[in-house]
Amino acid sequence: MKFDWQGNTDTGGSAIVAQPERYDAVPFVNELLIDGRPRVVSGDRFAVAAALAFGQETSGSMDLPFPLAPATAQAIQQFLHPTWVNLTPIEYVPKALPIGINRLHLTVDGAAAQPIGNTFDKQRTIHFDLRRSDRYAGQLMSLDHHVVVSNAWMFGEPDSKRSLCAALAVAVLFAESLQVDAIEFPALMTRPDGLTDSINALLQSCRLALA
Amino acid sequence: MTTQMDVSVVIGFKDWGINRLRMAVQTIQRSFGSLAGEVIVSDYGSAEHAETKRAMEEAGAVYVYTETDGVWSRSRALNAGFAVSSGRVLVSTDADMIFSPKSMEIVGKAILANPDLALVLQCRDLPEGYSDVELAGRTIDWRLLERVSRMRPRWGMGGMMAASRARYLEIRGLDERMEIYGGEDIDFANRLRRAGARLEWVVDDDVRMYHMWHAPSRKIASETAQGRKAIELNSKIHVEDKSVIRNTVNWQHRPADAELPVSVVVSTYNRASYIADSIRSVLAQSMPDFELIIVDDGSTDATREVVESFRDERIRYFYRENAGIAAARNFAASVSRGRYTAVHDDDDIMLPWRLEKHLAALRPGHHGSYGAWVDFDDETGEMNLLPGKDLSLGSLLTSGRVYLHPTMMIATEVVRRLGYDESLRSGSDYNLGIRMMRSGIRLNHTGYVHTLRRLHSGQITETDSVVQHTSAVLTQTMARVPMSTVEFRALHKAHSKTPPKALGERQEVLASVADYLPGHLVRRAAVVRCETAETVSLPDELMLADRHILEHDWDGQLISQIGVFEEVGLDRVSALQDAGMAVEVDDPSAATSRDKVTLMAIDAMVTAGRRSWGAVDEPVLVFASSKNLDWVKHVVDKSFPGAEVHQRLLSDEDALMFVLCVGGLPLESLENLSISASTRDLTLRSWIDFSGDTDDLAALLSSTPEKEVVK
Repeated sequence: MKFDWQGNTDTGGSAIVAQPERYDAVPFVNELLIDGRPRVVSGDRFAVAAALAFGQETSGSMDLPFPLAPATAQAIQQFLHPTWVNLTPIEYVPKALPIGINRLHLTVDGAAAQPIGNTFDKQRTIHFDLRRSDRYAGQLMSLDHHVVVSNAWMFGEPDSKRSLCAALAVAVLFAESLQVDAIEFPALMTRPDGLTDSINALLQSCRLALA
Repeated sequence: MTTQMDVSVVIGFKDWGINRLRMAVQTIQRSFGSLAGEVIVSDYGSAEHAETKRAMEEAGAVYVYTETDGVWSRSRALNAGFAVSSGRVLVSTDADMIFSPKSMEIVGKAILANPDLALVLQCRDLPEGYSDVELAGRTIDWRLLERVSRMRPRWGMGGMMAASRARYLEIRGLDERMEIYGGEDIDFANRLRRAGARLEWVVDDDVRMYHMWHAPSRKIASETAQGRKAIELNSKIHVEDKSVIRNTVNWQHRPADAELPVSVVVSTYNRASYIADSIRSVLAQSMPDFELIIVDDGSTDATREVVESFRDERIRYFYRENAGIAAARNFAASVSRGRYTAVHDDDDIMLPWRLEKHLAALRPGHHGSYGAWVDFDDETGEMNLLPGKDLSLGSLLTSGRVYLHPTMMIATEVVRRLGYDESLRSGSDYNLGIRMMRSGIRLNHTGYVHTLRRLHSGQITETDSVVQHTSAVLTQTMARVPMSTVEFRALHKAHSKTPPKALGERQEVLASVADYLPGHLVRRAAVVRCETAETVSLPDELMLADRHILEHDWDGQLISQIGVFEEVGLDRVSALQDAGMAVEVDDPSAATSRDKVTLMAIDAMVTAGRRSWGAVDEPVLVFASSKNLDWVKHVVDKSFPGAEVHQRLLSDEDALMFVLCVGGLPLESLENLSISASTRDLTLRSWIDFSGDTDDLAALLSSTPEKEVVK
């Protein structure tokens, strides 16, 4: 799968675009569209987001627009196992990973979130609510909330692994801009299939974690 | 389907050694492990098959035999096997492969765990000395085979492919146009990918497929002209045809649980006067595998009676309390059985190729397709071609006439998930278009006209235009929210002048679709030809033809028929197509004369390559053609002194000649003529009955403007 990052689409947002190659399945939708633009995205986090959104269709190679660290590449390979995937380009010069201190509380379509009570002496939690692109448009932000519209919901049925991973991909893309260290995703935590462990290992490779 | 199997393995073959087949079957059976599996041996037209059937059934395989015209097609053979299969995982392989003990269990479990996976396996060639003869009766030493075998040097798909049943049904099997073999596997694999299956090679030491040695057969196939032609066609198909779904017009080996590719959805409200035309146009589609869902949104007129007057099992009629067109369409999506939904309106005409073109135009990553349309005035018949434009959020926001909703076919899953906004009284279709674009849904233009849109005073655009406009503005405003003014200006500049799709010369396009206008605007005539003995038995429909020509051989056996219809409605077209006959439609813009229709029939005989003589309605003769017209005329004059001869030259070599004999014509005269003619290069092969008026025929020939010869 060949990936491209469109940080400024002509319709006012950003997008990960996946171009399937010879052995890849053609994704149901090949663009992860977002009505907003992350201020900055590291190569490692972009790769993790791409693997979350399009890993299920990938077979053979992931050709990324930015270099990624060997550790991130290895984590993605493990995440996609048993499918064999080769990632390029690998970054051979050590580079710092972004450091965050905030917690991101991810919900989909305004699902009931825990009350956000940020105070000066506690870790800040930002309620990141992902809305459906067919019902809403744009984004809205305060220091406590960030509502972003995306087509992540089109990646699969509600609460399916596909759509949850796509939603998480959007959160990973915004993590650096929001100075995030850990992501709470209640919809994911209720799944019994061990998905959280493999996702946590994947996020760890780009200095994030599931909270 | 009986017991649901986990895995069905199909071996397709023709005229193949029983011993080799038996070995293949037995090794596969042993490799199912804990899975429930079946091996289906699909014999595609072997000359001798009783012994094979017995041997395969003894071996515990399911044996399927298909009568053929002698042409081998691996694609069709495999489909014939899958048609009787019940496995959730379908595996294709060849008759000369043996499998190591855990192979099918591992392959089957992988796909059962992930139905979006397709697996291929590269075979290992066994050397000379390891043919079925040498291997038979021995305990197979798999470690030895591993050592002596070599990976097949030709890196292709041949040997084994496995996919979920759901994916197989979705893309409608292997492409049945392909004959002999070569390319069918890779084409099938590529279509699985396009449909969303990830393709993987099996890399597992416990999964091995060994090719039993035998003399190569590909060389043999490519040595014949027919074989080379078939292999070239296969290559062309898999290289050039990027479509996903095949066998749309006719899937010969269709499994009983095959899904419907398309649901045509019509929502209607008090359109009893128009909906019959609309339904007829759907039933006349060249692609017959669809359902027609009609949602009656609370009509108070005779809509129900009109719909129920159609006797077609594909029609599903639902009556609901009036809730608006958006709610009706959402309801249709909720009951739809088709993978795709083709939207159609109750007052429009769907052109007969529409569904076929929709499916052929499906491309990877697209969720449907749309096409051009023609507006026609329901009173005057005046037409206006509207080609449509490239569909994108940019074009929808900045340009008009991009698409017409009733030219669209959309994945039903998309319709269900997005849904029409039921709060919008009108304009919900444009709203859906914008929301689809914002959600990553992509549709491509088929390059064809799909729909004739009837312009009349009762249209929504006429009666509810203010609400429609308001809905559109609101939808656009929402879609523009993420964009700055500068960005929208750039978008406007890029898309506002999006050109209409190029469809060809406007007048030619209009002429090609005018045939299908409603009956009160045009007159249609059709000539229906039926050539072979097998299809001579025609339905009553043809026997009701306004006139017909029956061609007999000299033993009186009917060998072909031509029926002539002077007034063809879309319902008749449909009935004739159901009988397997193509319908040619005459120029609809001019009033069709009886003479002209007769001439069409005769021309149809000539263009079909008839070189026959025949009697038309006893007193008249037809000479279909000759290479020596002067000589023919001489023979005719001599055989029928005093007869009136009319001749119409078709070319320098071909002519039609009609001989009118007063007082009737005995068949012996024809026989005499035959004897005379056969001394030269003509042979009397058949004679013709014509049910029409001979005066018309004579007048027709007499009035032929050029090269007329009248004795």
